[in-house]
Amino acid sequence: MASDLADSPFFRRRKAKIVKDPPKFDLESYISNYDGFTRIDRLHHIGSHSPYLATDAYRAAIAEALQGKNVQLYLDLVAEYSQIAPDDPEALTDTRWAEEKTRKVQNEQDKLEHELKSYKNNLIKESIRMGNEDMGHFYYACGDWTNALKAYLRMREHCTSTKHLADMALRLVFVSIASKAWLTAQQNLMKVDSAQLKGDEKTKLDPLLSALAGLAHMSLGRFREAALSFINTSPAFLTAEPAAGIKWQREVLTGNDIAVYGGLCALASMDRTELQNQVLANNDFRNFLELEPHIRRAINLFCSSKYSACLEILESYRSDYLLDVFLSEVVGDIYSRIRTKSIVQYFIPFSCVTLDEMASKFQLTREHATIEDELEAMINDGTLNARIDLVDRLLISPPTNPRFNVHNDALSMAQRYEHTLQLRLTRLNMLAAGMEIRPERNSHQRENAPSSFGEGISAGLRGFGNKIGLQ
Amino acid sequence: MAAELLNSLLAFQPDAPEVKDRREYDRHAREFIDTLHKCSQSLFLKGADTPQDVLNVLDPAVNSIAYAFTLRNRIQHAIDKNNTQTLKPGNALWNKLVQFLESFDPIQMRYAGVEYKKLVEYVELIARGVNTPAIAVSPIRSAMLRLDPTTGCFTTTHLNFIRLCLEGRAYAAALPILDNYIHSFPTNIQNSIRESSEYVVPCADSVTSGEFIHTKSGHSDKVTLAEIQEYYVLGAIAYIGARQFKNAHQILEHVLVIPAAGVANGLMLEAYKKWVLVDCLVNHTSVGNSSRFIVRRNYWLLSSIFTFASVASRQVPRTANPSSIKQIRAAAKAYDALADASSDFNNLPKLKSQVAAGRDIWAEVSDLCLFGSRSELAL
Repeated sequence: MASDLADSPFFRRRKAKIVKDPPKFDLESYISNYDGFTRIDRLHHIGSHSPYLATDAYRAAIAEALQGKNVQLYLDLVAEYSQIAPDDPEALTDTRWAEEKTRKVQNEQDKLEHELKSYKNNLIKESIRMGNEDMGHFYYACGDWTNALKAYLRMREHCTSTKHLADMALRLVFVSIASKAWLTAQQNLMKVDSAQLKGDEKTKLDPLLSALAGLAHMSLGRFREAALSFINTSPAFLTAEPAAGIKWQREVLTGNDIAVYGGLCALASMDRTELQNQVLANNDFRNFLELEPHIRRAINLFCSSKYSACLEILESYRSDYLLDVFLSEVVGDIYSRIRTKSIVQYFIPFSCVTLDEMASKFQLTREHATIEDELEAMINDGTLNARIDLVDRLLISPPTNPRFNVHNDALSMAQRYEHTLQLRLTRLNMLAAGMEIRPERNSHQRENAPSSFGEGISAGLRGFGNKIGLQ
Repeated sequence: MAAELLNSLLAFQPDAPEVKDRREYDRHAREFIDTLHKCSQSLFLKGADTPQDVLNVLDPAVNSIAYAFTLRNRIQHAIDKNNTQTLKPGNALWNKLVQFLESFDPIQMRYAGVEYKKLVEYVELIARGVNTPAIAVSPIRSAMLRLDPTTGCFTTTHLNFIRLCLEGRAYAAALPILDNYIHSFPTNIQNSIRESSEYVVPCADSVTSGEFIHTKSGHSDKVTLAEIQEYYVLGAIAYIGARQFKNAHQILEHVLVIPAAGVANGLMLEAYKKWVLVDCLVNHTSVGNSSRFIVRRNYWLLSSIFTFASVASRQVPRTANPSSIKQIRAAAKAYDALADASSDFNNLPKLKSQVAAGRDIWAEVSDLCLFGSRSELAL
């Protein structure tokens, strides 16, 4: 079944992106954790990447889309599904529904716009704000991200309390996460922070904010900041009440997601002591890690220097993470960082290791043909301080002499400093002597032309005057 | 008559007790030079080629001013009369000239700047006349170092010297002068200022040579910016010739920081091109024996880039004028591209293709600059 689907025209076209191995999770139970747009989005992502789950995922997604207002999304899903399984009755476009829905949506939009206009005529701030909010909700439901953003932004001048401001910013974050505009999401998160909430409100929002900030950082490739945000997320996130009418832990990311994202980002960006102190010994994050025991195991193994076992665990979950809508973009990067870091850490205590030993400790990934290639790339970009002996097939740590290095650095710095000073003095001397390259008025005359000569002499006197003045 | 000449020439004795005081020394030296200037050329020619020849009687290390005047007049006369036999290297006047330049008293020659410059020029003239410019290198260098042990005040002699060195391919011979930092340029000190500062006579122990070498002292012609640039660029070529790439890199940076009002000139462009290439050699991280690839013998500078893999850290000195550098970069794209290619590990094909793409440019450059003569550079 799965191999049949992998041959379908849809998957053949996106060969580079499909996940070949079957994932470990069960689609039903996985997707039951999510609600709202992210549910369809995740189903769509899984369906379009994994031939194993494509049928189930698309069916569920299409059924879900039929409940909503986003006609375009429905049409896209059906079009893609018809390329995978043309014979399935679900793959036929329900044109009648689509037409009817489009009309209804149009009617609703007209109605909302009309209402908003009348609110504006009445000049009641609160009503205008709510009218705009309704518009925003409506556009969001239709999948029109730009208009949703605009509608929510228009709420701004009609907000009367800090809570309204924070809600608006959270809504903006929500829309920008749905449209995967991470920079906008980050800016709006900052706005929530600067809304100066106090007391209860603040404690309620803090776990949400740090989790969302972590998500934005991770998607932008800033793994260290992401890891710090995730591990500082309080376990109150799991039980937090809906904020701004959004159930974040169901509509954006779950506690399991936080554990996985946070754990992977920490592995990719922290060294062993940091992992031990900040991740494993962190009471808050422990609650999350308990949800995903294999991540905890991987971190434990990394801390106890069993890198190959750690990498093995991660590798076995690679296909799962490739099917995660947020993680799929960065998982390759994160894995290669963890791998590089493991190799570097593994090599630190040794003065030389045979290449075969390295190859057996670190199973090859698809990126490099042999372990030598990988090590060579790492040595060349400076992450691994070692040399390769191809004759004896050894990886050798070059002898270092810290004393010599320090002296050498100091000497070269002194030289550089002296040279820089000399350059500046040369320049000052030339300025004092009135020597300067000036744009020539007559382009035919090059240097030494009589006109510039005369200039030079008078400039010389001027320069000298300055010099005297300085002294 | 010869005795009369000798008397007037010996009128100034630097060791005499009455000139112990610096100011007295200064006054006497000036008066002496004034009298010598008033003497006609024929006076100096008296007694030439006889045992009582003043050049035999005078000691160049003690009576340097008198010796310089006599020597200058003799050579002038020989050239005027087209009597070049005695001037040829190995003959009497040449030997005396070389001996003088290697042993003159530096304090006295501070006063006789014009004579000093003339004599140095004669050495060059004669050496060129017999088609062996290289033999002038050593005497000129000695003279420069004798007059000013730091050789840090830029004079036209510096430029002539480096040109001679390059023509004779005597790169190593140029290094003692090139290694010295140019700390001042001949300034135009007004007479009123110079004379009012009574303790700053030329014969005093000076802090820098810029105090006695100035536009009025006669040691140097008026120095222009282009000449300074040319000196630095030629100096860099000499360093490259001597395989001292780091020094070449540093001396080229002196050209890049020249004050400019948002524009650049040809020599700056030239310097930048060389600087980019040399930078590849200086800021390298050598990786054993990477493949050596020689395009043609003339391209040795380029080919040596292949022996090192380099890291592109081409950071122009911060004092350089940014808009000038921008203009230069626009004009030297091929070089930047080549340097970028050479910084790529494991990408020899890219480097090869960059070299091939710029083949015409390299050919022109290797003719013009790397092995070029001064006349072409001065264009």
